[in-house]
Amino acid sequence: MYPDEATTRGVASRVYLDNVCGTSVAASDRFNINSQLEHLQAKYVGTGHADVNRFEWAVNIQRDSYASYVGHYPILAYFAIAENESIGRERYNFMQKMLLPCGKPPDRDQED
Amino acid sequence: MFLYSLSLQRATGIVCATYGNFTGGKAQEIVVSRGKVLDLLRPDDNGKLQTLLSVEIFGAILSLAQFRLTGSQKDYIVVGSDSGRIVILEYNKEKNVFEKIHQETFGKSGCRRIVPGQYLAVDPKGRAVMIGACEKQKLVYVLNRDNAARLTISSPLEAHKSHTIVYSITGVDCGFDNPIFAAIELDYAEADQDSTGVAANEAQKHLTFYELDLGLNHVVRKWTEPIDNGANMLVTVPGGGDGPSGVLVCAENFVIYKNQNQPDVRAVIPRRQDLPPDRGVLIVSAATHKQKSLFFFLLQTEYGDIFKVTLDYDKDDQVTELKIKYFDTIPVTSAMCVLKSGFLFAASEFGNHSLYQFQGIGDEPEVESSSATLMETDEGFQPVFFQPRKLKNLVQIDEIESLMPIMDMKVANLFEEETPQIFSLCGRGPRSSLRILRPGLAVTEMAVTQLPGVPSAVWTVKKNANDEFDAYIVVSFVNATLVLSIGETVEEVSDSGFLDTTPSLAVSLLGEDSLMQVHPNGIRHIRADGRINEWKTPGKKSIVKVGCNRMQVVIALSGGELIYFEMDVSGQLMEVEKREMSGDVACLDIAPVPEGRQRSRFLAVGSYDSTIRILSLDPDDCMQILSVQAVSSPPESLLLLEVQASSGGEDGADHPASVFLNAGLQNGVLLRTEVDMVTGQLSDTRTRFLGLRAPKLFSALVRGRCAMLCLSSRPWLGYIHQGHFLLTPLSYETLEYAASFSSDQCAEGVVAVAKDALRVFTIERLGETFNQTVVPLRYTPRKFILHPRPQGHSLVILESDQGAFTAEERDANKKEAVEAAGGEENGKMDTGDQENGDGEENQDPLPDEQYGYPKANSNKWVSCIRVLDPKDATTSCLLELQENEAAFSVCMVNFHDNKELGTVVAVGTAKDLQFTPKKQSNGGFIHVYRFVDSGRALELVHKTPVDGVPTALCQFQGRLLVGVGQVLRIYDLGKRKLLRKCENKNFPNTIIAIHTYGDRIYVGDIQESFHYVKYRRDENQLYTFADDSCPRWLTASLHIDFDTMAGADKFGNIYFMRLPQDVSEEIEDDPTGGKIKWEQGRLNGAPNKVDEIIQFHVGEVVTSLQKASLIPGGGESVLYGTVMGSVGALLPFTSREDVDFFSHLEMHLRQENPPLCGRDHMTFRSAYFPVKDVIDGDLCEQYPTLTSELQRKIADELDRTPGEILKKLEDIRNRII
Repeated sequence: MYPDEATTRGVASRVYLDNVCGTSVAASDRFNINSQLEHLQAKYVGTGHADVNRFEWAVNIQRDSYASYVGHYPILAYFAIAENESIGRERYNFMQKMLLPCGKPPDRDQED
Repeated sequence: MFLYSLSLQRATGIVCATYGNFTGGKAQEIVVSRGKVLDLLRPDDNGKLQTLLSVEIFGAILSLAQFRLTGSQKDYIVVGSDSGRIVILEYNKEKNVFEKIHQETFGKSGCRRIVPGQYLAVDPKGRAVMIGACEKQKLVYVLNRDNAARLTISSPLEAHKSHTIVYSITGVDCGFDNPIFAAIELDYAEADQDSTGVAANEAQKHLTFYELDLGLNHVVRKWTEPIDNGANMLVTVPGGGDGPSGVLVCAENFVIYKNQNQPDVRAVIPRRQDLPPDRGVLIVSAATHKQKSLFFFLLQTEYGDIFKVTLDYDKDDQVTELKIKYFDTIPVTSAMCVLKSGFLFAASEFGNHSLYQFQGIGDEPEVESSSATLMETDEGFQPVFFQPRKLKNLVQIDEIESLMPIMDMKVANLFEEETPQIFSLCGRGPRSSLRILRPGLAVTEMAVTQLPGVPSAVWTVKKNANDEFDAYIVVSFVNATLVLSIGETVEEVSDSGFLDTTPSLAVSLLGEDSLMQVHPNGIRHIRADGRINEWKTPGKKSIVKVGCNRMQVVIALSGGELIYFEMDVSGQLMEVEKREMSGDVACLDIAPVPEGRQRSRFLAVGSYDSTIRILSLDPDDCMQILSVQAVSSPPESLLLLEVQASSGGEDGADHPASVFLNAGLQNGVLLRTEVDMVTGQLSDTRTRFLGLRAPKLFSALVRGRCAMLCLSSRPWLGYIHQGHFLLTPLSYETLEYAASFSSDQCAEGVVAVAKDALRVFTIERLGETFNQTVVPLRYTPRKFILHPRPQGHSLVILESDQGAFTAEERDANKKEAVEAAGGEENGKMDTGDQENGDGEENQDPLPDEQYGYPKANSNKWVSCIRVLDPKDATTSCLLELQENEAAFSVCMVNFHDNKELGTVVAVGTAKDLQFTPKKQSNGGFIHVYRFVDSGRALELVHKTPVDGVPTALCQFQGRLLVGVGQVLRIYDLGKRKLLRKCENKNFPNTIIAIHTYGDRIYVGDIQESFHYVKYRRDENQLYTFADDSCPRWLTASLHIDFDTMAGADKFGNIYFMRLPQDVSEEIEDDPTGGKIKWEQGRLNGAPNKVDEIIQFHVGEVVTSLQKASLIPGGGESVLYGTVMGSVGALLPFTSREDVDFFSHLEMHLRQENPPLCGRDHMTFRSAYFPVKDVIDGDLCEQYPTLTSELQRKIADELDRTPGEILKKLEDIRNRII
């Protein structure tokens, strides 16, 4: 294995095309989708909205990815081999990176 | 194309573990999660870990916990998985299954950021369980019991906190006060908003106590306090009378005791002397030992050192001191369990797991580090150093093999055996190895004795039916019989009563305590008091075949006459009935007498006219033919075996046993036919080709149950394992005759004869598919190739490690360290401790396998190229790369323009490679080596610098194809270096795999799946004409056929893709080449797209794919190896009917047998992409574990009988392995 395969970390959140259990949209609820969206935004971290900016989006994706790495032990092991660290250390590093995954947020005033 | 997916070797790595009394007895059991497999292990009386149960759960287990309701005798298992559900399991000892007691849904499935499952914590008194996610969500379930003493679970109580990352949770032991859970939390809300970065710098981890108010039934945040920002793990401290309560917070470099209303007590974790100063020390696993009067913690660091942590506390439960003492060093674990019986179970994160026994608990008073001696200076706390030493408190008593991680794998028959071997590169760093896997069970040879002649048969016999052990081994030669008595030693005796001047045909125990010897001229019956009765054959006839059990004897005379004897009440052997068969009898057998019966009812007789008859032995219809079976070839050997072919109960006790007639035919086939217990009718025949010789069948005992030994060109064992009847080859030489053997030293062994030797062996590790031969390696293996030599083969293996020192540096450092430590130790030795005496001095005091390589800076690489002869496991050449180069790719090339050089090996290396903060390297090299010393060694021809890291190499039309980053390039051999001939720079990221076929090239990109490339010789150009529509993070690739590639991605999927037929033809018949040249794709892609034809989620990162057949004459299947150390196979179906049958079976099993931990089977197999045209054999193989009603129900829906379904499952497995 070439270790770069593992260290080049991709966007894992696009993989969440997965099943949605518990929040399946029944046919009758389809019409009040807006109220549902608000509910989802409150309930599920990272549910997008119209004004989401690039930074927020990226931060969200990165946190999702790190959480996914921490959850999938084989991927964690794969990274651990690539970086020659223990799996426990890899997990800790990923959790630490969840604090500021994309560096400092942009200045709000400048952005406007 | 449809594929049948089957795990051949389940995952061997361990994710997490918990221990308790799950059977309810005194025995301690360990439940381990191997990712998608849940195992129950138990150390047996000999200290060997046995797997009691192993269940595939079709999901990912993230966390395990165990709890016990107060006053109960039995522990329950709580499982946190990716199913969005909490599952509580109970082990049912009688049925040998995990029973799902509760399953509560709380969220979406999948490993998500805010769906709980990552962390589990239980109240030490078993009253509540908390399940948490990486972020925000934590749910508390109250556990109780109802009037019927059944476990109940409440609806969830929320303990959520938004914008909060959770590092660890644990239950706090506070006796019978309200349950409290502790969590390490980090709030990121402000850091996300503050563009100056100040808030992020000031972000502070907190330890928060959540109290579950049992009266009000809600959860409150009771207490929160800032803690060290390196905190990563919590360990519960016993409380409620047993200790001071509270938690240990393990942080980078520190262990801190914290509790409400108590000051922090902090101690430094000692560091190894050779650790670079910028590296921290992190605790990665912990175990607690608690008994009445004392408790201590074992904490393991990321370097493998275990520290014993003890607390001193006063009467008011105020902790006064925290002491850290170096305990021992073992390979880094993912989980540790201290068993009450004095064992330490260590689940290694990579490599073999171990069971250790405690020799001591390190209770000498001097400690390395303590809160009392903590020194704080201006730069922070003063570090404490220690020197690792040999194991002192632990001694290893058992090892469980683990292939984790498989880095590369190839299947080849290098040893010219009947079946090919799997060569896999496993492990990491100093524990790396090449493991040669052979399908079959491992055999431990106990003794080999040369005999005076070539024996023809062997039996073992007891003196009394109630004896535990065998008394004699009887060996028959052409004209003599040798009797050996079994005692302290095995020696020849002459007072046994056996006739030794004639060969024997059968020797057995008759009745309670008399012995029988059948020889060609008669039957010799030896009574316990020494009286001998002899029955002589009539006329000139001689006995040719014998079948007997404890009460009945049937002999076949030459000419085909059968005579049946039975033992009467007085212990006399009486002739009962005769029968003339049409021709000579080839073989016969009587089943053992069923318990509580007088006689066995069936006699099986095989004739040379290729028929097998079942005869009745009942007094009413004695020697009447009940049924006849015509077979393909004359039978050589028969065995009636009682098999409980289905599980339920401890290995099938619930199901009625059925009798199987096993017949070894002269063409090497084994037939297994079910015999109706009442009518004697034969039905449901299963056949299996065992080898080139006619199988001889013998009954044996395996774990106290009937099993069958089949001796063909190799020995096989048929036995029951966890409800399945398995027929597995033994990795042993060809045997002539065998018998089960039981003695003091070896309870369940086999004695066998082969050529002129008598062999005694035992069979271990039942249930394993492969047995391993291990060859240690130096660094993490990356890739290898097979090189055919004139005699045999060599393997060329690349090994490289990041952040390690070279061998010379290590040796020098070690010498220094040992000298320093040795000086100290010698000083100490005078004061006591004499046992580390002289004898051990010659050994390596700190073997790297145990202690790991010392850490160097992360930009330092070590690497070597090894030439290894697999036959004698010797390294014939080992080249250490110099100047911080690391080898990553290898291939063999025959350069077209330079024939005299012969085959050369090209190795791609990177120089000064680093990944953080930014991936970069100072280019790389392609080394070209030629073989010298008839293929045993390598010699450098030249070294060509390239501008990036050559991550993929492949021979292509007598030249070398190289993938360097985004560039695909063709090189030819020059005098001083390789010469560039042609290149294409338009690949998306990094090329990591190249395959070729004709003038077509298949390029695998690290993120973007495969690209199909055509090389036009006339123009000397490389054109990409097709690619994939999905971005895939390729980890392994395999060329299937001209249009088809198989690949595996980082998220654990395997997929096949195929170029549409019309596109393929169009590309091949494009005479002008204009179409390829000018055709443009959309959105920077290639003009054509390949179709996905197979899609399957394995659930583990697949690191290697291979096409191979593991059985002689079998069809090829695709084998894969994963990071978790599992090996699986994908077998293409050959008929549409099979596809229909198995897809229906799979569908029914999905409905009737949903996975144990709550994940839906279909969504698991479609976790990233919808599963396509693959039938999950692992699910289908759960069919025998269902209850018999359910089995019948499914069978009815499929218009078959359960027996037919079991046969189908067995058949398809036999086609793979």
